[in-house]
Amino acid sequence: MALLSAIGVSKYYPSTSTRANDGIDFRVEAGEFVALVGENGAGKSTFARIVAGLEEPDSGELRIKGTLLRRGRPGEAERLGVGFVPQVSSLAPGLSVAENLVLGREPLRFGFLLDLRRAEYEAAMLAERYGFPLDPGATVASLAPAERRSADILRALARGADLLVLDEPTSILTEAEAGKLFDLLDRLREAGKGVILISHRIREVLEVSDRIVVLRKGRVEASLRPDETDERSLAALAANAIPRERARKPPTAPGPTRLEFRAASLGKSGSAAARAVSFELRAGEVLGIAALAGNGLDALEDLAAAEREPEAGEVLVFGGRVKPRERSSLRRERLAYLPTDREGRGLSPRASLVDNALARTLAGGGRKALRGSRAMREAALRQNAWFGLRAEPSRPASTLSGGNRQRLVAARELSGSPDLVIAANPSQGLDASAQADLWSRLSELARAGSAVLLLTSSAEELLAVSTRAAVLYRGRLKLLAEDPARIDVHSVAAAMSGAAS
Amino acid sequence: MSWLLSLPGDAVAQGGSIALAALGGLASDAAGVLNTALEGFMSLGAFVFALVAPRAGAFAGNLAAASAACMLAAVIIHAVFKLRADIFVAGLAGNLLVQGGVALLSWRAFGTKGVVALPELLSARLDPGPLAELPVIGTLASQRPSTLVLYVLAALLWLLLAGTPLGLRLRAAGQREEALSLAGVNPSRVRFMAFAISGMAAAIAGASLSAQTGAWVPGSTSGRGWIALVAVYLGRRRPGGAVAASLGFAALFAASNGLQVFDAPPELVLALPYVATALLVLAGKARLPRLRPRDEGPGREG
Amino acid sequence: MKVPSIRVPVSAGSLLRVAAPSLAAIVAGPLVVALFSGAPGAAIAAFAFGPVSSAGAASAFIEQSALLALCALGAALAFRSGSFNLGGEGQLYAGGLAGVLAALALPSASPAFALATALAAGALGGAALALPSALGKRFAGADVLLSSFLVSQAAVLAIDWLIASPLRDAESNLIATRMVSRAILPDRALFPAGYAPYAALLFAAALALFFARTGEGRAVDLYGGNPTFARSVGLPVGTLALWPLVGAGALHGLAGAFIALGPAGRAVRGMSGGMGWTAIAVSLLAANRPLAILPAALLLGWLDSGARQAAVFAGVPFDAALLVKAFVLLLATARLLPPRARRGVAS
Repeated sequence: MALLSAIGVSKYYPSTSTRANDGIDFRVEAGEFVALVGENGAGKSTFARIVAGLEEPDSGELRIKGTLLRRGRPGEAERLGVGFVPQVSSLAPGLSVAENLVLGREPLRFGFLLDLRRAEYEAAMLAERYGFPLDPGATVASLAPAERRSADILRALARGADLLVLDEPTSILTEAEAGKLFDLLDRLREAGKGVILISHRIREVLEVSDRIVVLRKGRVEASLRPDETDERSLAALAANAIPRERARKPPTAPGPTRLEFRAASLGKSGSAAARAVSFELRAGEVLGIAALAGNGLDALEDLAAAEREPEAGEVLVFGGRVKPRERSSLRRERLAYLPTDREGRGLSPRASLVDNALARTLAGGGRKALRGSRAMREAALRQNAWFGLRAEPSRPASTLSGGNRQRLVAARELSGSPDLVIAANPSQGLDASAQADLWSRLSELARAGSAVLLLTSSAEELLAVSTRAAVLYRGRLKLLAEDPARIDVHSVAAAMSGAAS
Repeated sequence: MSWLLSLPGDAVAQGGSIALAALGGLASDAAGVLNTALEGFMSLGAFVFALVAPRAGAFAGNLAAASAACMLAAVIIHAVFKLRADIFVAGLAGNLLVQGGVALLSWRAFGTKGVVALPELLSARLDPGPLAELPVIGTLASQRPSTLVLYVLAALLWLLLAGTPLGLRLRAAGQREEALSLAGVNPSRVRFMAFAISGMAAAIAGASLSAQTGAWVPGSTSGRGWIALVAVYLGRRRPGGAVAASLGFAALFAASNGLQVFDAPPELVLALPYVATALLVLAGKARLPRLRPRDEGPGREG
Repeated sequence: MKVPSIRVPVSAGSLLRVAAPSLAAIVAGPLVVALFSGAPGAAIAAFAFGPVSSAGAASAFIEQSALLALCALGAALAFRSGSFNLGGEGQLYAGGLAGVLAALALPSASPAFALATALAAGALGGAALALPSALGKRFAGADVLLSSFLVSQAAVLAIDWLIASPLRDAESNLIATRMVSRAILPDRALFPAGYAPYAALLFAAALALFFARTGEGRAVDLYGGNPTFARSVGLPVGTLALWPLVGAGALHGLAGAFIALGPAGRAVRGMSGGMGWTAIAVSLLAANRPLAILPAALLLGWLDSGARQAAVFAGVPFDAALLVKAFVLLLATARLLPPRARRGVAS
């Protein structure tokens, strides 16, 4: 009997008139590892949430271990053994792993007090059984991202899950961490559990899954075994358009220095610091710096974008230190900054799309002028349309979907002709075609004379755009190649994880 | 200088109500539904107690105060969860509701909006026997039983927050709603309970004000609810810290009462706790938590 | 810090959101009054039609509403910049006292000059009281919600004392300062509702234009929504943290000066009378939009005036208005239509 069988599952969202799921048939057997791939908006998360009972389908039926999932009963799917691990960890960060595990069915002492010791014992037993290396007494906030993921999975198991639904569990993990996570999942598969994995990372999907289901526009496009396909054709199946060629290299005629790090350090002595980083970035080139999480890339980003001052050494933007007072005029035209933290640093959610799109113009002298709302509206429309974003410009930015928010920030920062571009994980959260657009735009900017600093956690992105490639490992910068065409993804990945070359 | 010697005793007498209200505030804060209506809840408790206790006794008075607080909490939480009103603003509305409602009811019940003396509310001070002669310890030991009850309740609330399943769920509700909903616990219910607990704690703290003065005095809370809220943050959002900060404020209040002996203008003396607290807040020592924006996170559009 | 939602596109939901609290006020007001009155009919009549029962009552109602609107415009400015100003009450009071003191200090100046100086002093007084909160926010990250309330509470008590002791006019029965020169008070034959309505219209129009048409106004909204973003994108966050809050204080102070230089012509103890709190309700009711503040102020002004009339003619305590305002405030930020589907296209 199948762990899960879905027949004709459909879901329509009237508010956006989208058919997120359009007659999906889907099966998972015990001990089977099924990957669900597709572009942004293909309906993967919607389907996962329907399986987990968090949303109700308009039509179609779902059976879990043969039992029909009835509507209007939110906890039913979980009782039948579906464990959902959402994209963002759902553990309470201030509580310990054990406390999170027992929430809702806490063991008691004297009939009313929480029996913390028993909670930790039970958590330790469960972790032991599936070979999860986790300290049940540790606060969730103190765990590394990969540990937090495995704690999420452990929580689902603690609640008796036989079918795990994982929504992009590796999106914030490094490749090494993802590898460890898949080892754990392998053990669960051997124990007879079923796994549904949603992922953007095609290579990882090919490596770990038993079967791959490709969704496109809410329909099942294909269902394949990994040995029936390869990276290229799978990407082509999932994408609406065939992925473009690798972005063309800009000519490397070095222009004037736009950004210079002189032994700049920032951050406490842990691994997340940047330590004595030195480099020069000239007009016309794209310097790519790749690093795994926890190696100081965030600190480097803060320094390059002049968000923070170095604790030692110097960071010179256009030959000088950026004073807070000069920031507005710099940001208005010369300095473009696409932050990793798009929500926190990139948008003002309640302000309208127009205001968000034109925020940089407001920052400089344009702020003082009386501006016609129609002119502003048109300028914003032009800018967004150019990046494939179509939405009513007077709406608050908070009403945009995640992907469209990314586009809005990218459109604002990469329009015009900035002298210096700081792009931190620029393609995160974008689908394949938007990613290709963004990469070619970065190259185009460099060809037009911008200096581009690309900070990324993806080796692929590093090689797609940079004219000069480096990695940051434990806070130290190491130049890889003056000509990235000569290196491949595997050697970059090795350097990122500190392997000697 | 006699007021200085009785300061610890006075501080303990005043600190109980602030500490209980502060722990209530902490419960609501931990669950992510910060109760900005503590002041109103205290006022409500003081009034309902003065209304009920003379006829039905102190226990019934406190019970009535707590029940009234539960009802007010239900109104506010209904507006926040069902009508999706802003919680801070709904709390302010709760304060106004109590202010207006209490004035009207007092006018109806007592025939005045002013002070009503109810000497029967006053419980006798404990007789510490020979200890009464000692300086400092004498006043410390001769507290009213109603004060001691406050400290017992505060200890129970502390235990509830730190060591029971409900306390665990409160904290989870404040940190990540999904942690509860995925565990099959309704976060809204947990939050309502937290809010109701904070309301009841503040109401009983307020009731003690009437019990200690033996009168219904409109405005007798004089900002104590707000002070309790500040104590939550000064105490770094931990139960022990909140209680310690509350006692500190109580000492300030007691000292300002003592200063009145020297003919200092009463208004200025009353302003002292506000000034002291304002200075702390302005120096950035007490901060509100960063709450998530009310608009739900991910977009509703494709 | 969290601030109630800023601008809502006009839709069924937003209309309902304004209509429901308004309706609540219109229905609940008379109901509460009737409930607490021995003569419900007379009380309801006084409440409902009192504000327009005579030319004098109507002028008073218009003047009250205009003062309320001025304060609410200040509240809106602060809210939209992300500062939850709870200190309106003290700012109003300080402005009133400062205005009167300035007018008293210039006994021989020309009336126009003295009036202008007094109003400016009022605005400055209110601004001065908002300044500590603004500086605390700018330099120490202090929460405006707490600091503005505390500073205002302390100031209210201190001003109570100033008016009752050192500045008290011994010859008056009121607890109040000396009276300013009559020459600077509005000629009630020409301006039955004083100058405040003109100021309210002027500032409402100016603020509406400011938010809709100037980059500076957009900057305030962007900063109010996300200060971290505003800093990163290069908006002048240092000044954005300061001036809208100080401006809010100035508007409250100006309203205070208009109150003191109104019919009383002096600073009376307790003259702020809760207007700072009502102004918050007005601003929220209007979703912080300057032009919508005018009708919202008229609505709540009517409530206040009606309650006062009911107090005088039907013996119902004035506090009835408080209850109704509480209901309005409770509903002011509510969204009364069911939420739309939360997620459109996911995955």
